[in-house]
Amino acid sequence: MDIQTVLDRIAAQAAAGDIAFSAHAQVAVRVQRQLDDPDCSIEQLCKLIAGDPILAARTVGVANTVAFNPGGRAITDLKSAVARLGFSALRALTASVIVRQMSWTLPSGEHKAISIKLWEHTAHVAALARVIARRITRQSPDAAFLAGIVHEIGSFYLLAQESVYPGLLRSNLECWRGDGEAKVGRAILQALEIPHSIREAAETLWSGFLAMPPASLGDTLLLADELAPVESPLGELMGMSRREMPVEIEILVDGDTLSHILAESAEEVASLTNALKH
Amino acid sequence: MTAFCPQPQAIKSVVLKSGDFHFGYGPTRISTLLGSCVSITLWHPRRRIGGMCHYMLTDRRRPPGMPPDGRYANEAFELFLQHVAREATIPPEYQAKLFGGARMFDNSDDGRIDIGAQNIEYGLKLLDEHGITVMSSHVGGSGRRKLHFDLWSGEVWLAFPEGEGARTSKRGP
Repeated sequence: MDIQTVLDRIAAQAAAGDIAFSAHAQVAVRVQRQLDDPDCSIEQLCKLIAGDPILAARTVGVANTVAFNPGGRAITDLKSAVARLGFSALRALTASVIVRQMSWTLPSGEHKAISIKLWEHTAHVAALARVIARRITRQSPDAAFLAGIVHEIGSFYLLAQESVYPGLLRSNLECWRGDGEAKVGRAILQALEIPHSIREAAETLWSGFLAMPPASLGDTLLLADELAPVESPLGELMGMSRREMPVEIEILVDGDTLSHILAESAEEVASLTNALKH
Repeated sequence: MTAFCPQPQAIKSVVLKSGDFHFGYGPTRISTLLGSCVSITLWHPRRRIGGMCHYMLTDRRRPPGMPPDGRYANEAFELFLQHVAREATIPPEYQAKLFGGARMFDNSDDGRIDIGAQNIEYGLKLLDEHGITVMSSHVGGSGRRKLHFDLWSGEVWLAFPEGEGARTSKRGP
């Protein structure tokens, strides 16, 4: 199999909007569209979200994390959860359901395991990006959270294509981290009508150049990606794993250090990561 | 953050190889590729001047009368100090960023001296001794780093293509 040809074909399909969502993800897609409606009400949203038990449970779960509920006042109903999260964070959560479902039809246990690890990595990046945005780069935490959720969307799509192109993941995937990931990711983010600022952040991630110290939403995402304790399994498949050879990063922010800020925010990051993982 | 951004065609590109050093101002972008070597950037935020070195080793027994050699950290730093004095500035007025020091062999128990780690420690020590604040650092790991330093803004752009699983570390100030 000529991997470059296959990746080009996958990217072209995605660019043409030829992306199949499961019935499950369609609820999340409808919620995304509803969020774009300026007349969207909380009642309408809740009715839609209630149609998907996983999205409903995740909405309430995330609303109760330390990240969104520092006071520790637990809520159990959907309407309060949506009100607490706000529409931007809710957009990120629905995106998480869409991203996650992409690889649910994977043929083998091996591929499912890759998918689970990829999601674990995604959850870490999203939770870290939210904290980095708030405490370090002064970007919108919700935008950073969404950027983290969707940053591996191309990889999830690639995984899902294993059923169409058996053996795809055993191929030489070097060109995936070249421009394949950017081509496919760009097309899917466009098809899902993900906001421009998030797509721009993804472009920074794909270009790979991090401003030191980080400043933009793209830098926020890149830094979260580098700091995530669980690395993308796609890197391992390409023989680019960096386990046991950590990079040390330090940044001075208003007299405080990145390591100190992250240590302070560890509970917040862990609570959000866990809520996303389940 | 950036007060002045030159037209792309006006940007002068300076590429540092191991042991090279550049100090200047204006629309200049200094670039380099790092493995176990370390690059330090120094930038004066008010005067908008600065420089970058690319050293390979910490120090050596320097032959008498020899000019500083940028391949060694202490001598590269001497070059910095010469330019800092020539510009009628003092080291603590500068902001530093430090990069590189990767371990280039995928085996931590092979008895090899970790040159990258030594280079990092030595660079941080030199900066500390001269009262220069380290604004950011991205060091260690095991891959190559591509680095651009824009002298007009003090911004540094870093690509670490295989980079992931980083950790933060508590170092001065």
